[in-house]
Amino acid sequence: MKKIRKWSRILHRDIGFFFIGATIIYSLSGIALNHLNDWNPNYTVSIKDFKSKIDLHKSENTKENVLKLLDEIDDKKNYKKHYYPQRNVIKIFLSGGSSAVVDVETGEGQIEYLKKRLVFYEVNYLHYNPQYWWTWFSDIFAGALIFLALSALFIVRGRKGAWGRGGIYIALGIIIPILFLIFLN
Amino acid sequence: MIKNFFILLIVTTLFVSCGEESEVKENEQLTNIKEQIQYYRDSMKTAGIDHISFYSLEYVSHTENTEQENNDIIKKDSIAEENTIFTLGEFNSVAGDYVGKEIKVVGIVDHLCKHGGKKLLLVSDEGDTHVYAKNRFEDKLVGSEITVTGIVTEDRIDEAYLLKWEEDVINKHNSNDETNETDEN
Repeated sequence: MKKIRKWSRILHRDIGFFFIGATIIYSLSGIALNHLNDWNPNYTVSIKDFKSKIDLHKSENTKENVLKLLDEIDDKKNYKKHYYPQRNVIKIFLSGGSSAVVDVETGEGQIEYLKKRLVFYEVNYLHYNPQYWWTWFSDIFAGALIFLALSALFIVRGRKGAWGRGGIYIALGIIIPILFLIFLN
Repeated sequence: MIKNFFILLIVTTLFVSCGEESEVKENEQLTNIKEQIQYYRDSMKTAGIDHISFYSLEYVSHTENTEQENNDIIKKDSIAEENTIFTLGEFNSVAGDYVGKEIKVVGIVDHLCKHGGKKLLLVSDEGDTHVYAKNRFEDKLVGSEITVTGIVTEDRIDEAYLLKWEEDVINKHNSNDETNETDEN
């Protein structure tokens, strides 16, 4: 038992240090993605209303006119593409994921600027397993979390250990998800 | 003690107001879905058909188009039948003949699914379709015109589908109501 406790402590400490980065990545992105309905976790979105007299009806000169409009409201260098989702509405795509939507009859429009959220964009990107090797790394991290949980049982002995006060916390941590399962399912 | 009481009061108020807001949101969603279901029923009745098919693409590969390439595509289109690249307007009318087969469709990427970037909406003046992939798409594709090679898949909406949809939505709504009532009690 002494040996198990000793190795649990050593491995728990070193593996714990090694995975501090991954833990922060998954916990931050976990919170961000839990609230997908409340915010855009990857981008900050700002919207600007505008009104223009430039004719954006579908014609041979549409692209030219769209570039003129962009010079008015943004920068024509940001132009990517445009299309008409409805007969009287044009959507203009800009670089960086931003876009503008204009009512071609009234000239009223809205431009939506997207800006990557620092840190959140990157951690969310990793959370969704972007490629093969990250999937391996995150699987190893998940295995390590299981090890950290189990090794924690052996680290502290006595009143504050798993057979004392620690045991109450363990039980609570297991009972709470079970209660959620019972009452929410 | 008084400070703690006020903190608890603020937290409780926040929870209650959040609960009310989400209840209104849920009711709105329920109404929207019910209207959508009724719209499908009415459309099928008016057209005298027993189902509506929606076609999408299972992603195989893509190429980003430059303006020059777009012109080349149109030229190739008229020469080589087997190399045909469909516009979205053509796709919507011929997709039924290509279910399970690989084809090429050109369009602008309107947006990617925010949940994981594995679904994109391909659009043009003539229509739109979804493209599903196993891996996530790159964000920078938004606003670009691309030619997607993909396998045509069909989703059928018929009376059985609508009934199941209706039942699921109502059940989900009722279970949320029960949870809210339990929370209030």
